[in-house]
Amino acid sequence: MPGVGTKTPRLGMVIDLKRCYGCYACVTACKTENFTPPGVFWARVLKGETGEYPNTVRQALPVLCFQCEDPSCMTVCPTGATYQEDDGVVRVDRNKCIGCNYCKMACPYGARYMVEKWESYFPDGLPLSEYEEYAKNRWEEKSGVGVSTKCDFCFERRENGMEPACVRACPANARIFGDLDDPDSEPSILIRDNGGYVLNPEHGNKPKVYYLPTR
Amino acid sequence: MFPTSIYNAITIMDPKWFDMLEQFKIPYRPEIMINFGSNSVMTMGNAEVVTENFLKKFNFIFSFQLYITEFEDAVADIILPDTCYLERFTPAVSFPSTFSHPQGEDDWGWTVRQPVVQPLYERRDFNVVMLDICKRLGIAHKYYKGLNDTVPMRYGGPMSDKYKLKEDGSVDHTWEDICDRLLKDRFGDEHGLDYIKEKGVFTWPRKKEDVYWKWFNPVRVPVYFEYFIDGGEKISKLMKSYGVGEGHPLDLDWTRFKALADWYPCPSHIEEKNPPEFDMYTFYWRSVIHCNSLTQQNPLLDEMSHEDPYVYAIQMHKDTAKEKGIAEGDWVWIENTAGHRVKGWVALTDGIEPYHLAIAAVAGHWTDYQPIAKGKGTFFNDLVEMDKDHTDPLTLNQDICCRVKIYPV
Repeated sequence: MPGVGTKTPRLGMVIDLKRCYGCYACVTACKTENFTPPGVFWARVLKGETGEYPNTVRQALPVLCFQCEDPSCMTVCPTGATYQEDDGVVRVDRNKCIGCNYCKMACPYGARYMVEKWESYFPDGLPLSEYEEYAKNRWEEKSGVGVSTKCDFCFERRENGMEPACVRACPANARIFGDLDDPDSEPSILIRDNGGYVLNPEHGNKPKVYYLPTR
Repeated sequence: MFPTSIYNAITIMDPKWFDMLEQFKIPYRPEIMINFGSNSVMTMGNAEVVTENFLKKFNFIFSFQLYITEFEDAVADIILPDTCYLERFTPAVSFPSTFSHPQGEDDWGWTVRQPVVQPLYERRDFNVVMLDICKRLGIAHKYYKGLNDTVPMRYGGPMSDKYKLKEDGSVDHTWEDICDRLLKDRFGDEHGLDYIKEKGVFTWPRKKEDVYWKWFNPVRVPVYFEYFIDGGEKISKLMKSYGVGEGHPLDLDWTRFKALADWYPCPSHIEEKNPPEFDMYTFYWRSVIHCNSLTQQNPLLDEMSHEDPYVYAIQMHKDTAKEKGIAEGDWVWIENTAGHRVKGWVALTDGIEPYHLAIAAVAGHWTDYQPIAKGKGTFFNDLVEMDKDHTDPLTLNQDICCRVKIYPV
């Protein structure tokens, strides 16, 4: 599994739309791994419908930060808080971020989230449970309030030799993670052999999350 | 008929069901109900009928629950805060269920739940509490016997004497001890609770005979169900011996007890039972977010439900909606022929038959104790009638096909 500290790979992901059935396991895994508060979806599943009855198809489209080669969020960042790791993953230095939201406006894929005030998932006014305290602390350690936040392909998991949580959780193996520079990696082969494509290439950001066609 | 539920309406939903017990000379009357984590006010059928005709007939109800549901709100006398699945031992999670097992050529597996955190607040595992209650009442030996008898029935094969619970009172079994004995009985001395605490799961290779079982099992699928005829005759004779003969309100349609599978229209499909304005069928589906349970109070799942365009909506074909003057997002009533109605908002779609309405999960909670779930989605089961007319006489299962009309709120 390519990760932090190995020969510098160019990390990317393939999402096989034939396999995805929109169960939200990736979203749940992301939320429980990263303790993102309400309204923050570093991993998201969009759902849509095409065709007319009786030939109607419903399709799920999982999205996340596409870790672009040329990330416009990084270009517009006035403080250098947004940067790229050697492996191509786009991250945010929370100590440099001033919360200007330029990145949020610049990202054509809506992958940036700003949390102005941390909120509990249990809006009952009761004191936080120890787990909510833990979640709050973890969020503030990694991301915090008043700064821009985003998916970083589960940096901490990769540091420990694990795949991103969304990849691990997918029951249909619809997400395949790996080194796009390695022509023999599973994602490279899938992209090459199955017509992998990126969303909205016209933006010119060169996303590193590819999709395989629905059929 | 589309009998899919394991519940049966005819035996418990008649407001005079105690009379039914009298009719069949049943000498006892249920007085106490113990509820384990379920919410039968919402899961059986029309909530008012279930509550008034059935649940309120009990003198005393206590309930183990993680959080208060409509059941506790309506009928429970005592609520015992239960642990969540991450706070307790469960020695058999996916067995004897017929699903949630490894598929294809993967290894067989036996999953066990174990606590990964201590219970919050003063919650206690219902297994431990029930054991405790039995010990205090001096009936622990009956509890042990019950478990000894149940294991072979549920999991197959006799239980080894070595691991049977001691019904003579010589051992004060704890819940962990019971889990340990069950696992060792099934998987051998080395594979008790200590093993599972370290390994988490049992797996073992699947043989080709297990994967391609149809080829290796010379089974025959019966075409004729003669036993239905025999069974029907026996039951009919028995019922007559208790004075339930032809014309009695409890008498069944014995013509259905026959050897060949047949189809009978349920009330929703008998035109003379449905005035013309009841021109829609509504059905229930399970979103993958809320499968097998009522989970709208889980805030993560609730949040994801809002991400999905259909989970909290009533799905309706766009052309039918236009015909009825209903637009996307409109609030509507759906009413069945018995006058029971539910409220919800409409999501227009092409992905549904034009005169059908799709409602997800058992949503539409109303108790104030579930602030996250309250008022979200539509309570389909209020449209499910609990009476003999909607009960399959062969299986006593309930008909969940509903003929309805729809109109704006």
